[in-house]
Amino acid sequence: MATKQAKKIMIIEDDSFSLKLYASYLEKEGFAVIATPQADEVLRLAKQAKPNLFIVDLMLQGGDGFILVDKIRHTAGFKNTPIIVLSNLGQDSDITRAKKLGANKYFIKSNVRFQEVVDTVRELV
Amino acid sequence: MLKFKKKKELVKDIQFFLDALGDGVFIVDQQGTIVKTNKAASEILGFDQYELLGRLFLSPLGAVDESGNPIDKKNAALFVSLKEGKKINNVTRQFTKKNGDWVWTSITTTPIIKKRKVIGGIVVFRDISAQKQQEEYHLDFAHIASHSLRAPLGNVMWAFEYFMSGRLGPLSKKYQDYVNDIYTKLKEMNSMVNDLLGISRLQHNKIKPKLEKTSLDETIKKVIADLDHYAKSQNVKIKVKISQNKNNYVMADPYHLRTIVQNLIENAIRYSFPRTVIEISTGKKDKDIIFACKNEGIGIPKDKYKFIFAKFFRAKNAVDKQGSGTGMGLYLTKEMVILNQGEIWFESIINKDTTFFVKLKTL
Repeated sequence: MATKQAKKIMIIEDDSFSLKLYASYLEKEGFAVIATPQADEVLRLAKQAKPNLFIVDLMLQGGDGFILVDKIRHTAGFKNTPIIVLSNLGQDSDITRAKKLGANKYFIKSNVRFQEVVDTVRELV
Repeated sequence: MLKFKKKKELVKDIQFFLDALGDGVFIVDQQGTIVKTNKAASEILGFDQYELLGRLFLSPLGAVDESGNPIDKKNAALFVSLKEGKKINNVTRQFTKKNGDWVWTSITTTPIIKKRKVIGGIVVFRDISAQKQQEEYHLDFAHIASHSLRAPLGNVMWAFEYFMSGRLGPLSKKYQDYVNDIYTKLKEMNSMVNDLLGISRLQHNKIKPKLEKTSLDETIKKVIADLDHYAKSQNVKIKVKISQNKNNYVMADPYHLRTIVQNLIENAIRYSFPRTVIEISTGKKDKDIIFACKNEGIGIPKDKYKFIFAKFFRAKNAVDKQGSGTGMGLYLTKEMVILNQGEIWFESIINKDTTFFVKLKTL
């Protein structure tokens, strides 16, 4: 369970099943989770909540995850906040692009266990 | 009888035979200049015979290989045949027709050798455009289908992982067994989807390695953790022997390296006898690192060695042991190893053991 000092993780994912799953898993691991399916809400929510790490899906219904990564990276206060991309896009060009825009880590969803994502979250925050 | 005919008549007869062939033919001299061709060649390429004769092979045809790389005198199969005196079978090339359209061909080049000297060569080629187009449709379908399957499959796998972790409360032994079995099947399905996607990307030249310093040890560790449930479900253990070098780093694309290691260990698990041990080891050799994955299992029949890395190939004993599979895993693995400037080979004793080796460059 998240405590007062728990590190805050912001998840941007438009698939409700995935969102529920990530949030529940991370909360059980002791993180505080702020979750939104809306790409256009991210910066507003982030300025209030000041997350320690972002988890971003790339194919968002309300916006482009690549643009979102770029926006986060260029927003004051989040220039050095770790960003993990969790995506089903697995092409080399997607990975390179996301990393160039500022993602610290890129996971192809079906290729890793979620525990590996959690371990990486722990390493980065 | 041909041997009694005069030379002029013989030449006419040869032309008659060449024109009767369904495949395109070029006969070239030692330098690669076209000295004879046939009707099928004209029909496939759209050039009249007189437009081809006397020209250097390739010059009117603007050839490219399957990856879209231009073919020139240095890498053209015919010129290799002329230089090295060896036959080259079934190379796929795209040629430009006279009207600017493209045609896919499968070509075989054979040197003409007289008194141990190459005096010319023969190029025989078939139009395989229809077959290629069919392949493209299949690949496009495979790409769309596998990409669409990937997202829900990934979600369900993570959900099962969550159940199995016990974070949602303990599962009874009975449920645990079912969940483990379902997870194992999901993993197999996932690996098939990944193979299909990988192959489609490979065919569309979308796999471009970004070589960087990558830890082989870390990759092995992560893959083994990922395959832990699968190994347990198949009743096999994985033993890792990593060399003592502190810098077990290779120059490879981290995502490709993971696929390579994952495919080989997954295969080792799939084709192992129960209650056996898979041995993973790494070792340094000169400037390279060799990764080895050995299992005790069904092995590879000797007469199938040459097909083991071929597309869609699955040996009969592999199908008997494990019905499902795309026959793409090892093909994809080999292609990825090559793209990452490495080498792959294997040693096998039927019904005993098999070891796959991958050699990769260090920094």
